Order: sequence, then structure tokens, then C-alpha cells
Amino acid sequence: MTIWESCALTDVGARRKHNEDAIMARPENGLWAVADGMGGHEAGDKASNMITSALEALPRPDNFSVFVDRIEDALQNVNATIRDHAAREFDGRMMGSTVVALAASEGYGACVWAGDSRLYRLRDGQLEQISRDHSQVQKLVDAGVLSAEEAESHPNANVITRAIGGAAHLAMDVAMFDLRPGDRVMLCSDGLYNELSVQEIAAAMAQGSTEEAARALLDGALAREARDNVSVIVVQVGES
Amino acid sequence: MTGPFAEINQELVSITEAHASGQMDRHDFRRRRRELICQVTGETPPSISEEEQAARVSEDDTHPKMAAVSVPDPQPADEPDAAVEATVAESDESDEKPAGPAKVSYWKLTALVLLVAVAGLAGLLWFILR
Repeated sequence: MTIWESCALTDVGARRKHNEDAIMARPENGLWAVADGMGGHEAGDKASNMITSALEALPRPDNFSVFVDRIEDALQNVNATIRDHAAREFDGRMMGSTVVALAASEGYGACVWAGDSRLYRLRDGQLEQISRDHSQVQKLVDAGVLSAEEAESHPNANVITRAIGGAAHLAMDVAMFDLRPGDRVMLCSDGLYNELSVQEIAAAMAQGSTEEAARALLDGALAREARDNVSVIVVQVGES
Repeated sequence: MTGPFAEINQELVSITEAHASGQMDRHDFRRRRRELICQVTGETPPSISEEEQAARVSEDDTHPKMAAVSVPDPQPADEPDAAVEATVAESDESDEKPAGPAKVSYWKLTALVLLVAVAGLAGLLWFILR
């Protein structure tokens, strides 16, 4: 049986007044999530907290593919609730959240996401981004119009094309990947990766314990005057 | 990502897009996704009969407003869609219910403020003219 060690941290950042991010860690269920709310105070934070609360209450079925379905079901329920809540309380104004979730089991994991919150895996010093942003610039990168470097400084870099609460019909993307003892997985909001380079993320992720790594990542973003809320979860795959 | 994971993930993206664009129904999408995930996990994909039951329950739960968007001209033979439409109608009605009392309370509040203002003005005039 795999032992998961994890550390989850979130911070309001240096410029924002409220933290609209929410984080969730249930190592005993092999489930972690970061949600980055949108819509301002009492809309964005409510949306992201709805997501983490729904996932926190999720029981884990025996079959992993059913677990992925249950995660999607929970997020689709939240999608409907958020849209209903926005129509009632905010006159239809935007209320939503991105989400990235890690469901893990012995030897493999699933990344389930909508929006531009990300999941990375660090193995033998090599950092790999598992999720792919649902964003306008990612579409341009996929089409070969922009390079990854150009995308980072593009004026529409923060425009996302998918989110919980964004549309009546929500399609969650799922990516499967293998996990080995010693691997580290990191979930984060855009407040983190917008402040740190890939090399800086890899170096911070490799540090000591999961707590030290998560702290190094968060402090690194805060040291750059983090413009946005910053959330990070570092998960270490232990020996069986 | 390389190897079998890349191929499986590519198909996962493909079926998700097909489902999102309406080319693949939810039942087929879930069945195929379970097959792909189970290729990685080595588990046996859950049987279709179990899946049918779960999908029907969760579809009612998760997409109460879908039919209103995607089915402008429902076909009489399509019973599940009719059932979803009925759910939509009910939820639309329930949506309107809280709006009623809220509007009445706004009018009451406005009338109360006007009443206080008129009383205050009358008091002020009496004080000046007495």
C-alpha cells in the first residue's frame, strides 16, 4: 500500500484583499484539489469552497474509473449549484472557479481539471506539466501560432475557456499518468506559476520534506510580490 | 508524456471533446472512459448495467437545465429528454418563487421610507410655522 505524504498551503498574496482560492487534501482517500475562484469577494471564494467541500465529502469507491466518474459528478453538481446561485444572488454576474484535482492510487494517478490551475510531476529532477490549460493562449500554442514563451507574456494569458460555473454543460478533462516511489506531484493555482519559472518550481519542489517544498514554492511567489492568491499542494509518493 | 499513457490521454481528450460537442452521449462517453482508465489500472471496467443506473441518476442531478439549452424541439419518442424537461420546468418555477417576496419587501421598504420622510417634513414645517 502506498503512503502519501502531502502539504497544502494557500495565501492571499501581496496585492489582493481576499483569498478566493481553496485547497483540499485527503491523503487517506488519495484525493487532493486546488480551486481558484472568480467573481470577486463572496462569489469567487464561495465557488472555490463549494468545490473543495464537495470533493472532501466524496467517498472513495473500489474501482478507480468509478472514482474519476464520482469526482466529475461532484464537480458537475457544483457547476449547476454555482450557476443557480449566481443567477439568484449576483444577477447572473460571473461566479466560478477553476479546479485541478489529483486522484492517486498505487502506481498511477488521474489529473481531473477545468481551467488553468495546474498539476506537475517531478521525477528525477525533471518537471512535467500533466494538465493543459483551458485558456485562449493554450489554444494558440496548440495551433502553433504562439510559442510557450510568448504565451507567458501574452495580454490574454489570463483568459480561460473552461471553468466550474462557466457553462451549463461542463466537460472535465482527465489525464492518466504513472507514479513511482520518490515522485512528487504539485497542484497549484496560476498565482504560483505566474511568479516562478519552471526551473524555480522544479528546484523548490525538490527541497526536503513536502512541507519544506510547499513552503519554498509559496515563499518564492510571495517574494515576487504575488499579484494573485497563491495555492500549492505538494504530494510525495512513498514506498509501499 | 510518452508511451501508452500518451495514447490513452490522447483518446481521453478526443472522447471528451466528442462528448462536449454532442457527438457522443454521456453513457458511451463514460463507458469508453472507464475502459481507458482500466487499461492503466488493470481493473475490470464496471459492467454496463451498473453504469446505466448510475448515469441516469447523476444525469438528472447534474444537468437539470441542459434540455432547455440543447433541445428546442423535443421529439415525442425521446422519453428521457421529456423527463429532463419536466425537471427544468419545475426548477424554473422554483427559481421564480423567491423573487416574489423579495420584490414585495422592496416596495414595503420604499413606502416606509417615504412615510418617515413625509412625517419628518410635516414635523419640520410645524416647528417653523407654529
